[in-house]
Amino acid sequence: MKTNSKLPYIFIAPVALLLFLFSYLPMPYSAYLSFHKIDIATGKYVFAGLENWTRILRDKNFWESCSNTFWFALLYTVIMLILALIVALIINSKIKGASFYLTVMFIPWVISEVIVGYTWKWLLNPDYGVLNYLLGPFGIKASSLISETGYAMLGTVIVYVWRSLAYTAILILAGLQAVPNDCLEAASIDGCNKWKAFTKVIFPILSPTILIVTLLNIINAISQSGIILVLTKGGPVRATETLALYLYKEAFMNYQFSGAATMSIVLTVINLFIVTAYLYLNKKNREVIS
Amino acid sequence: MKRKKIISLLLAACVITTTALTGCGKTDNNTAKSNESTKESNSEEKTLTLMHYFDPSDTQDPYSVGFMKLIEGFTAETGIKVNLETVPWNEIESKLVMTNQSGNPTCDISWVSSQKLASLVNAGALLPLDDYYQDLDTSDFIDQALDAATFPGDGKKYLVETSVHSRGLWYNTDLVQNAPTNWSELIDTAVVSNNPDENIYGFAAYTPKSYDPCELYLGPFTWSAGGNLGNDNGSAAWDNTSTQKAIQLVADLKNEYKVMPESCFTSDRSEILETFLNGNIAMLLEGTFAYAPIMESELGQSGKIKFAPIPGENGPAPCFTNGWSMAIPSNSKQPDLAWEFVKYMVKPEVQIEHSKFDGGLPILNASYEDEFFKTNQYPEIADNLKNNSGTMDPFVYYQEALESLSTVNMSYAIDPTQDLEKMLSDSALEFNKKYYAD
Amino acid sequence: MTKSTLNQRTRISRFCFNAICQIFMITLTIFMLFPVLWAFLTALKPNNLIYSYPPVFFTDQFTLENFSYALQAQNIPRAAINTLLLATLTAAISSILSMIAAYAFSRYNFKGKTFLFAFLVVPMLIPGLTNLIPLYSVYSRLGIDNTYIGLILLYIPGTVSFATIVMKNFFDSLPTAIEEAALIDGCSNFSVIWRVVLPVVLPGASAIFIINFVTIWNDFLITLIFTRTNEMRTLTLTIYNMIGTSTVKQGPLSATAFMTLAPALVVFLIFRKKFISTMLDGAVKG
Repeated sequence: MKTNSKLPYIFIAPVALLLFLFSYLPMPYSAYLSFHKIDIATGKYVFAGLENWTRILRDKNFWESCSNTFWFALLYTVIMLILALIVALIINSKIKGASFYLTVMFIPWVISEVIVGYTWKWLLNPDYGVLNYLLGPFGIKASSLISETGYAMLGTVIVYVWRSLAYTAILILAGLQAVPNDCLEAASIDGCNKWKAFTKVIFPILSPTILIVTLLNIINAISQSGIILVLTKGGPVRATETLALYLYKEAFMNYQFSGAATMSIVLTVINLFIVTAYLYLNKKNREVIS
Repeated sequence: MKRKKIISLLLAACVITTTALTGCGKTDNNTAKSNESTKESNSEEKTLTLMHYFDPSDTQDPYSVGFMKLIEGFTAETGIKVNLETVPWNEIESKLVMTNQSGNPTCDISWVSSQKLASLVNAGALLPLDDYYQDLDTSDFIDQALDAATFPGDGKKYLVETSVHSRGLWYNTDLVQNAPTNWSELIDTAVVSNNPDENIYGFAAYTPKSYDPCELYLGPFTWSAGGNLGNDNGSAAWDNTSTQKAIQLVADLKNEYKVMPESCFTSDRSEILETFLNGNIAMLLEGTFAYAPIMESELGQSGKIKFAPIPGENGPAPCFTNGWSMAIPSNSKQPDLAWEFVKYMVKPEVQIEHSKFDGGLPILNASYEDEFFKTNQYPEIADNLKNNSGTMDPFVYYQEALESLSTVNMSYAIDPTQDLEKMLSDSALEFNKKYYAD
Repeated sequence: MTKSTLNQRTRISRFCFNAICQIFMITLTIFMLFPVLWAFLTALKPNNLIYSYPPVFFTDQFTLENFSYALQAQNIPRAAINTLLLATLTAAISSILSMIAAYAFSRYNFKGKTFLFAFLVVPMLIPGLTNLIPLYSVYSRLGIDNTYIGLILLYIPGTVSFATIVMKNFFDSLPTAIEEAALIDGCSNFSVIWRVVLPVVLPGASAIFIINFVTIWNDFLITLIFTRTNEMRTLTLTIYNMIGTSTVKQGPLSATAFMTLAPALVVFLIFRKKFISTMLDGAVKG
């Protein structure tokens, strides 16, 4: 590690400058917006104090969207982690065709959100959807994944998982590379079966990776609105209306940017909480490992 | 070897980058400069920027072709050039608001949907047009056009409608002999024409939780039963028996009589229309903006699709009307120039030409005399418009109000075990608490 | 137990394990690819066969009419060129900038390092929606909206945070021995970077390039607000336009969707080996 050079500042400068100009400088505007509202008579913003804040805190839909976001993030993270972990472990054990599988799994990730939404919407169409046709004989009504309030959340999660599974799997796979092979060999010589090897050897080393993958997943899930917008528009009846979607609608359907700004501040605060939780857990985890 | 490769790649990248950036930078600088100069000089050519959703390069689209002719006519008449900005139709208003709020609206005049009037005014995006209206002869305007232009919150006019769309019952004469004229006939006709074995549904209506169902049928049904959705000040009034009956009707059609496809609740409007045009739906409640695709379809071409008024409780129900309208952003730099275009669009001959490719009806009474509107279901549509139209209740928070009601409607249709009366009164209470708390 | 039975046992259990894994992965692959395949089939079907139930899988009526409709109706070639240009340039610039920054974070210790790193990460937590209004205000006054350079400047900050984090981890996992050796041998700092680091870093760079490319290729919001003319439209925007006032034909929609995803897919396939190996080499290490 070099310590005396001025070089790092020069290296970081362009990135920092761009971020400052395009991400930090506009921020006060959001704060400004959240304390102002439009005066219809003049069409300009006037000071509104805490009006925007009290309005969303009184809004039942806002709280519902927060709860939806929570469940969505939970469901998404759990399903994603389990699947990605399994996939990563399988690929790591170098079965035949691992590279092929990995490449194929990445294809959904390359597709834009709008297309993903429309493709799945057509697949799950109650009248013409091919999934209804294929899964019908098994007693599964695939279209309830977008038409029934009880299942819509699951449907959305499935589509998101479909899109980003490869991405998460490969992040975990990267973490798996840090598990030294000799540890595993020692474990199998000692007579451990695969399960013990997993819990005692792999998991502890993998835990920092899992933590950060969880973090990235949750934050991603919370900020996403593209796919849900096309797939269900937050429906049926608000079942899948997350905070990000509610924010989007406030901005692009009601044109209330002050309301949207207020909500984006809430979203940012939530994200900060999650990051703090992550940093805390990461520290604790490190202590446990060492 | 590798290094040389890297260097050549980087060099190539640099060359491409600089060419692209400077090349494009230049052309845009030029247009920016020429726009500035045209704005300043009065005797030189003036350019008006119009924001619309059609694509002028799409020569397959009759709307594009027709509209470009209108623009040519405008330029020929007034000498003002029109610069077109194409934005997807469901993003026009948001782009208008966003760019207007930044102080530099991207256009001088824009096509907007009249249903978005309240939201646009609440966002401070539109210029009040009452002063301009003074110079306009509106004596021949149909009532609906003037109603749609007025914001209930302050009574000012912010739009000029370009054509009027109404809503009605489109039906397939292969499956339906006589259009129903009231609710009980509607149920009977739907049940009779429903045929699950051949995948034919008796009745369909787009039912998302946005404002559309209220405009499409909840409003009309409620009004035909003697009720209102909102009070004069824009607060919610939909917790009444008429609305209850309306919602119950639809829920029954779906759950009890099972004549409605589930895709009414999940699919896009156009998918439902496609299903109808494929002969799989007997009756479809839809607006006249579906006129063009309907008439172009096989069924439409063979004259098998007809239009009838929306069945109300005891007779035809008042239908809701709206239309694409012209609006001027509140920060527009050339409002006078924009108004020139407005004046052109409301000329009788232009109205007729416009309606021909637009599918909506003209806003001038006299235009209906044109031969074009005497065939192809236009008489039925015009008749419905003249005799059966109603206006939406005066909601100041239009989208929010209608969405609350549509949500109840959708929720009840999906799960009819709920207490509809309570749902209606709860949602009305909540809406009023949120917006009319004082 | 004799050695041979032990071996047999392990071999059988190995076989079972492998078999289960294969079945699982094959099922997963089908799950991943089926929607894409279906979209492709839909794009090839004429309209009446798309809206039919039971669904039609293969038919002799396959047609290219959806593709040709999409191509001519929406000025796709121009949109494709735009999106390609924008995505490539932005991804390239963003990758280079974030690599440089990541190198600094990885190889140097300096005052304010944690602060600067946090500075980099925080924008990822903030939904950028409301930022767009003041940015548009500035852009339109400067006259740089609806230009390539304007768009590029907007895209870069969105991609640079994550890219730097990934690259930093990548650099962290690279042994510094080679660089130190080179330094000892008398190379200047710059020369070290140029000759030693750069070649090794190329896989990492391609990974970041792909991520950025795909992100920008699929961007919608920024392009919507910050482009004005048809010449500047991107493919994602074109898809939105396909959804006409009351008719979205599933056929042309699928066709356009496919044409949109194809180039991104091609870029991915070209770089996939490097991409995968970089992500494996330490995209994420706590």
